[in-house]
Amino acid sequence: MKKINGYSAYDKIIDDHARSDVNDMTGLGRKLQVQAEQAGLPVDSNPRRAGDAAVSDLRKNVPPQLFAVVNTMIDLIGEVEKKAEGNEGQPNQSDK
Amino acid sequence: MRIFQNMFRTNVQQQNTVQNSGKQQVAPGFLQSHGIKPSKVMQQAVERLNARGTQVGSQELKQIDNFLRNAEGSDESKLQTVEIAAEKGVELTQENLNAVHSALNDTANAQEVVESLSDDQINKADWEKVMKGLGIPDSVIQEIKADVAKGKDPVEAIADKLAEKLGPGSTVSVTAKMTTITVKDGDKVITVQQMSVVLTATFKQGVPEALQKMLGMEATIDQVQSLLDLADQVLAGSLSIDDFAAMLIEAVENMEDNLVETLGQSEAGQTQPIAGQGSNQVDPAPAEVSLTGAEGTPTPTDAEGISQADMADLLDQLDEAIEDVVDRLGADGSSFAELAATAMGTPPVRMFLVEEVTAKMESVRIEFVDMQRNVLSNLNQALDQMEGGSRQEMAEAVDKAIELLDKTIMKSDVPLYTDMKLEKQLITDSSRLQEARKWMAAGDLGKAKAIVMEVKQHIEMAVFKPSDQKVKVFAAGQLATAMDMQPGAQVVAGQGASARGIMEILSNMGLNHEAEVSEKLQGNKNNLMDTDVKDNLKVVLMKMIEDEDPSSRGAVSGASKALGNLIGQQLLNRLDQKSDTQTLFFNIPLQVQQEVKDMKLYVNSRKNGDKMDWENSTLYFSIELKEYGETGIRIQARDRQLTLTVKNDNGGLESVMSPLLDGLKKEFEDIGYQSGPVHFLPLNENEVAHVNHFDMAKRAPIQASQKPLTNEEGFELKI
Repeated sequence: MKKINGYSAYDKIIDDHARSDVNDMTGLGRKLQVQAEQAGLPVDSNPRRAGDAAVSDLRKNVPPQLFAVVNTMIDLIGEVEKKAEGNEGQPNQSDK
Repeated sequence: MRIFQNMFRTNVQQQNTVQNSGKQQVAPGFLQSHGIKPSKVMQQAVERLNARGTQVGSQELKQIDNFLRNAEGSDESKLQTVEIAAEKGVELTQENLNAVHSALNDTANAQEVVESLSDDQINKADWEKVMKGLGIPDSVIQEIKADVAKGKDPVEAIADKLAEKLGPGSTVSVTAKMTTITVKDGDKVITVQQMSVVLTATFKQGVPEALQKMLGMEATIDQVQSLLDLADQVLAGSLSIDDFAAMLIEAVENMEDNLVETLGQSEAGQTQPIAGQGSNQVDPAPAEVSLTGAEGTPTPTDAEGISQADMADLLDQLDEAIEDVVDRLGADGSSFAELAATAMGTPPVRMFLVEEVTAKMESVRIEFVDMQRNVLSNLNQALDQMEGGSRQEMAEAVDKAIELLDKTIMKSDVPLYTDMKLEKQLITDSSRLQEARKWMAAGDLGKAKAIVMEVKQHIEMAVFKPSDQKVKVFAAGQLATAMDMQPGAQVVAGQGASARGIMEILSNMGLNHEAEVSEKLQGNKNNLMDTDVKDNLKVVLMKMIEDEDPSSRGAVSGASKALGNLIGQQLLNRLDQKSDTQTLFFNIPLQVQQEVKDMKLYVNSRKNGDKMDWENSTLYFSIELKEYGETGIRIQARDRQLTLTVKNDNGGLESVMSPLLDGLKKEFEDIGYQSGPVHFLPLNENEVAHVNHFDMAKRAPIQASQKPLTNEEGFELKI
């Protein structure tokens, strides 16, 4: 795919579709279903859902900083559970 | 998951309080006029939708009515599902409402479907089906059956017969397994079985001489052996991975030169394709041999009889043979060199493993260098424009650099093969450039320039270093089947994933499936048949439903429910095109201390174009901790300033979590945030009821019921 300064034509297509209305989403979904079928790839059977899902690209719409926060919090939860397991058998703090 | 549910729904309840103050009651006649039998709950649904200004027609009313009548749960929970779906602009069909209802309310997530897998040997009675599936000619099947009738093991009989048909020097191995998947369907436990067979044929002992010559084998075998020895040195720490990578690249380039040279000679000799190749291939075996003629007699081959296309086929077959072997050996923790050495009983296979890994590393390296060049070009452009040029062009250049960095982190293969340090650095650089962008907007070009220069220096100095561990994972995972993706669809807490790692989990669940398929199809418009997208849980579930077997109706029902849950999450994550905020909702399967738990995650933020604004966002995590029970953690960012609120009714949690907060503070600062206060609050539903998730980004932080235990520097706590 042709790239200009690292941007592909795909980005533009999706940007354009992202500004479309419901009918376009359904149209996009149908087009996706036809092409996906030719490629042997299953996609959502509902055209509008497929269209909506095609333009809701998490990799593009969610910045890495938010995923980094999620990752940090998951690590924190893991640490808490690990420490809690280590504390088992020791006198427990009083509940609030 | 009480907290989360309440918080999510409270928004809707609050809206009702405000918006319904002047609402008009829906007359029963209104429903009847649309052919709907009046009910109190349906009446309420219409009133709430009216109050929201959501217009619904007869068709939608019928769908909503069907949903309200048939879905499980309280009337209130169903009404809130209708409202939340309407809020997200989801088409109000019964199917969509069921999916959203499942995502919001079901505690069991889709992971359950593939949680219990077991592999067994295939029943003897199924072997004929297997052989037919592999495309083995009937005459050969009859011979194999005769051997089995004499008491021979079916696996052995197939392998021996095919090897015999392929001629001297060939070996065939067959592996087959019956995968049993346990699906929970309410209280019932249902099992579904799937058969998978891999047939591998290699020229183990004697590659025909002409073929060997064509491959340049004599020259390369020694090279490969040397490389494997070097790989061991890397693992022993006596050779750096960079030096090893350089040697690998050089060696493989030599091998490729040999191959191109010999192929060129072959092409010049007016070659003919192998007769029957492709028409009677053993399929769907990944590493197959061609069986031709009614008797299945192999066609003799020689150097003059092989075209370049056939050679490519052969290379593919050998390549897939490696994948099979590596996959089977990969799980035992063997070192890369051991893995390769053990797996490579045959010289071609050995060569191709090295080539496979090296080629991948090289393509990722090129991807990284491309990114470096493009980012630097944009940064240089921005710096040029700062010297009296166009402010708009300067800002656009920085925006493009940010976009390229984010794209590298979220979409490219670079983070999948390098250490976390590089990924983190790229995130930091992206955050710094966004800061520079703000200084530009504020007219302080001096500060903006300093940041751009700093980031430019980082990018210039960044080096692509393949992570040995990740390379091994790549080598071992080549033959991952749809079912094998299970471990990838689960986060293991405390094992240092990464931002990209989280995205990969969501991708493996299939929550980004259509976007990924769409992208691939756009990039492969002229050859759709060759489009390939990695399998994910959603695809597995869709295939299970599509291949419905009457004997496993219960399993299909379980798969449908799980699929509905995933679709519900996708619906809740659809791009809010007409809103200036975006909400996301995920059920993330989280493995904590050997136990799999559901973690619900809600994200709300402002938007910059289609992209969520990480600097002004709110994340809410809800999880049931083993020791401390139900826990909610809210992280709110306002202009990068973070406020953390932990809600839990067990006093022990605060003392366990507090010592970890210094580390947390550093992590957040590395990403680009500034740490703010931390509140520990009891799990108080009344207090929670004042939190509005959908409108979170516009509201002031919730008031703590006790004085925050912080100082001005942020997360420092006094216990």
